[in-house]
Parts: sequence; C-alpha cells; structure tokens
Amino acid sequence: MHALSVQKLKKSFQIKKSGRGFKSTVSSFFKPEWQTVEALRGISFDIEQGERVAFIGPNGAGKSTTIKILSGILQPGGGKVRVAGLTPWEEREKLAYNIGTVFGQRSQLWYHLPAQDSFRLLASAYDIDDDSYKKRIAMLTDSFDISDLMDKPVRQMSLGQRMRCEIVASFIHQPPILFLDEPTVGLDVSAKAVIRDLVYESSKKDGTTVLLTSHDTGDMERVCDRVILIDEGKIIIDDKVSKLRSNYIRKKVVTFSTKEEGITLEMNGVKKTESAPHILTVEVDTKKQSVESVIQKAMTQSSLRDISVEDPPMEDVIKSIYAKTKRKGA
Amino acid sequence: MVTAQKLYVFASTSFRDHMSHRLKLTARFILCVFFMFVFIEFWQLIEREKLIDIPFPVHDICWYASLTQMMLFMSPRLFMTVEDDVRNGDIAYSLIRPMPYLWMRISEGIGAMTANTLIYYTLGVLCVYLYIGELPSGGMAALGTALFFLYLGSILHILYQAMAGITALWLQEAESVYRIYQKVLIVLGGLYMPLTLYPDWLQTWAFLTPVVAMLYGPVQLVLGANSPLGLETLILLMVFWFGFSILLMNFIYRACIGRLEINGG
Repeated sequence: MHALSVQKLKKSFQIKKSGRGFKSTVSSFFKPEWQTVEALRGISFDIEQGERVAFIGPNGAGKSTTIKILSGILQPGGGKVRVAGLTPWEEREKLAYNIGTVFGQRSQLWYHLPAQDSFRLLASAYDIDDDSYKKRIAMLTDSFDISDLMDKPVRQMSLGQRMRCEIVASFIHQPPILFLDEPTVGLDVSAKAVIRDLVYESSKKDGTTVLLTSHDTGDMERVCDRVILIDEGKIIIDDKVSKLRSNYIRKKVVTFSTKEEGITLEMNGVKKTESAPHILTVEVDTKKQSVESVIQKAMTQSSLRDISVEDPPMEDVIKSIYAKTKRKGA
Repeated sequence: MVTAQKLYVFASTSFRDHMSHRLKLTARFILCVFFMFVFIEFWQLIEREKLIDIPFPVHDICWYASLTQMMLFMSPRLFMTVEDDVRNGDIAYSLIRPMPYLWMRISEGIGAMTANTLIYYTLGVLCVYLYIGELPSGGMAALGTALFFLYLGSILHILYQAMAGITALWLQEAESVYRIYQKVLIVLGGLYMPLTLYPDWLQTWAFLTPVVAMLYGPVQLVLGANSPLGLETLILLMVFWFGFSILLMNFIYRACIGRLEINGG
C-alpha cells in the first residue's frame, strides 16, 4: 500500500468578480458574477512509505491546495486520494493520528506560554499517555536541541527557534506522514540549514514519509529524494532530485583563475556570466560544446592557476524547466 | 473521541494563558468595579429619592446589579476568537486535529472565564461588600449559590457566543449576530433590573429565551426570601437550556462547517 495515493485530483475555486464603478457595484450586489479558477487539473502521483518528496512550484501553481486536500483541510472537486489508507476529508479525525503538519505561516503553539505547555496540550489531544509523552519529548528535545527553549514563552523566541518547536509539535504523536508547507519561509540561511537537517535526520530515523512544499529549492535539495514540479495545476516533472540536473539541464558553469589579467573565450555555446581581473566564469551549453574543448581553448590562451566545473544552481535549473514548459505551451 | 480529560487540558492551558495577561485582566477588572459602583449608586439614589417603589431591600438589589455586571465582564469574548479563526482560515487547520473545533474553543473559553472568576469572585465580591456594607439578605448561602449558578450561566453564555462566532462562515462576520444576541441578553436577561419589575408580557417573552437561565435566574437568588424563582425551578431551567443549547450548537456547527472553503495557495 502506498503511503499516499493521488489519482486525477481536481480542485477549482469560485471567485466573485468585483465590478468597477457605481452601476457595476450595484448590479453585482443583486446578481453577483462568479469566475472559476482551476487550481488543480487532474494530477496523479503515489508516494511510498519513508519517501521524502518535494512539491515545488511558483505562486498559484496548486502546491498548497494539494497539501490542504491531502491533510483533509479542503475537499477536492474530483479524483481519488488515499492518505495512510484513508480518505482525508471524510476521515479527518482518524487521519489526524497518522499525519503531522507544519504550515510555515500558521502556529500551533500558544503565543504567551512556554513551548512545553503546547507540547503537553498536543500530547493530550493525540491521546498520548504520560510515560510515552515523557519518553517522546525527551528524544525530540535532544534531537532538535530545544531543551533551553522548553520554558521560554513562544513570543520571546526567534523565528528559527519557533519553527524548531513547531516541528517538534508536529512530531509529538509520531506520525508516519509529515506535511510541511513552506517550513523555512522567513528564516535566515543558518536557521534554514538547521531546520532542513533536522527534518531530514528525523524522517530518516523514524521512516517518516515527508511531503514538502516550498519556493526554496534548497529545501528540496537538502531534505528530499524526489521532486514533483507543478505549474498551473499540472505536474510538469516527477523525478529523483539527483536526476533533475542531468536529465533536464545541459549546462555547466566553468570558472577559470588565470595568470593573465583577462582572456576571451568566443565559442559557440559558451556564455560569459562573470568577469573580474584574473577570473572568468562562463556557462557552457554541453549540447553545443564540450567542457573539455572549452578548457583546452582556455589553456591555449593563458596559464591557468585553477579551474572549477560546477552544475548551475538548482534555482536556475527549475527556472529553465519552467521556461521550456512555457515555450512548449505557447 | 472527545474525552472530558482533553477538554480539561484545553481549559487549563487557556487558564494559564489568560493568567499571563496580567495587565489586561487588571484593566478589565477595574472597569467592572467602576460599573458595579455606578449601578450601586444608581439604585441607592432611586431608594433615597423614592423614584420608584422597589419590592426588595436596596442592598439586595445593589448586589443583584453588581453580579449581573460581573457576569458580563467575566465572560471572554469568544465570538471574536471564532470569527477571527473563520476570517484568517485557522478554523480549517484546527479541523485536522483529533478534537472538534468548537468544543476546543469552548473549553478554552471556559478556562479563560475561570481565570476571571477567581479574581471577580474574590476581589470583586469583596469590593461590592465593602461598598454596600452588608451581605445580601439571604447571607453567604444565597450569595454562594448565586455565584455557583452564575458560573454555569456564564458557560451557557459562552455556548451562545460560540454559535454567534461560527455564523461568520455564512455572513463573513459575527459582530451583527452577536450584537442582536447581546441586546436580548441585556433586556430579557434582566441586566439592569430584576424581571419582576418588567411588565407581565415581557416577563413571559423573557422566559422563552435561554438568557433567563444565564443571568436573571442565577442572580435573583441574592434577593433571598424575595427571590422570585426557587432553586428547583432554576435547576430545571438550567438543565433544559443546556440540553437545548448543545443540540442547537451542534446543528449550527454542522450546517456552517459544510460551507467551509478556504483559498488554496
């Protein structure tokens, strides 16, 4: 049995059209006009137990709508969904024991109380007895390094500290499936790294299935093994994160450190991206030019002190995939 | 399954949370004491000037007026919490917890009200006693019984606040519904004077509403031997209105929750 199974999932929203001007405002009061917005257009995918999957897409792509349907918050307009063998919107209470949720812009902690009060409350809500709670919270406190935060009122925590506590709160009942919706939104670079590592380690240790939505490709790279790219309610790509670069992008970034102050590399498929005295960075389209030939040409022009060959940043990979999809659509 | 223990934990967490708002608690209490003194002065003036014929000893009616004010100030504004949850979409996120949303909020409301009760039933009662200078005619027994039933009446008031709040799923806001309910509570609940001073037809109307069990029923016990409703009648009223209100609340909740739809991204 899959941990999650989604078949031909559809969802649309009715949005009231607002009229401009007095006449239009009055007429829309008596006879409002509605516009249908298709948020999901029949998406399908399965996720196995223990898989960590990123759901990536631009604003309005449908990723939050999907996660809200999977967690039982919204009802779909069509299609079949099974999460832990349950239909989310019909069996919310049963499902609640099988899923943990972190919504980056919502809090399940009591703002004026110490975090441990909220943890106790959640333990009680999930029918966890006192002994089990003590063992579980001791383990989570240690893993997430929050022992000094337990007695601190939530309002006095930094966003990074609060987010660590939010994730602990969602792990308290040891859910086999975890939904994370923008868990690193608003965090600084180091706090993001901490959260990503903690989620990755915890899910690996407990075999938790993770479905993560984010705008940040770093979340995807550091936490997930698989990525589902979604745009305008449709799945564009469903593949391993490791294969994303090799299968969908044919570019390499080559940086030369030279003895001479400057060199020029005018070759087909080679684009200069950065230039400084003794440094040149180019992007090589490997369909048109091999990296080897570019390095050879550079060596004929200059004495090289150092060379580095890198993949382009994941953000560029994603952008490029979206651009290709848009071109195909057009 | 909702257990009493879960409700208790939510209420006790809310109690601790409410107690942490010391400034808010103090300010609200001072305002309540001010209003209680205004109404005590008001009834003492009526008595001194013989403006109307009051069928009760003046100190009893002063206690009556003080306790009705106390009940209004003790109750948290739960309808606003529920309305906020509806407006910002938090209600949808609460549905994925193994606890019915409205009962969770009601437990929290009871917890917050209990924190208020501790202060109002000690310091508030002491202030009224010092100002009036004597206990109600029924003595401590009548006062204690009235305070006990007033606490239950306040819980009933919280149920109706929750119902008013949840209507925001239909009407986009709950303020208007709550204002109508509040006016009924003020007029038919006997906030300013005992219902026995009302015309007969209005008394009949009042007894057809739950507000009698919330406010007038419990507080009229301080009128001692003159108390128009006996304890047995009050208990029957309470049992009936609690049963009816819980059924009504579940009906409204189910009807409203079906309309829940929040935006996607």
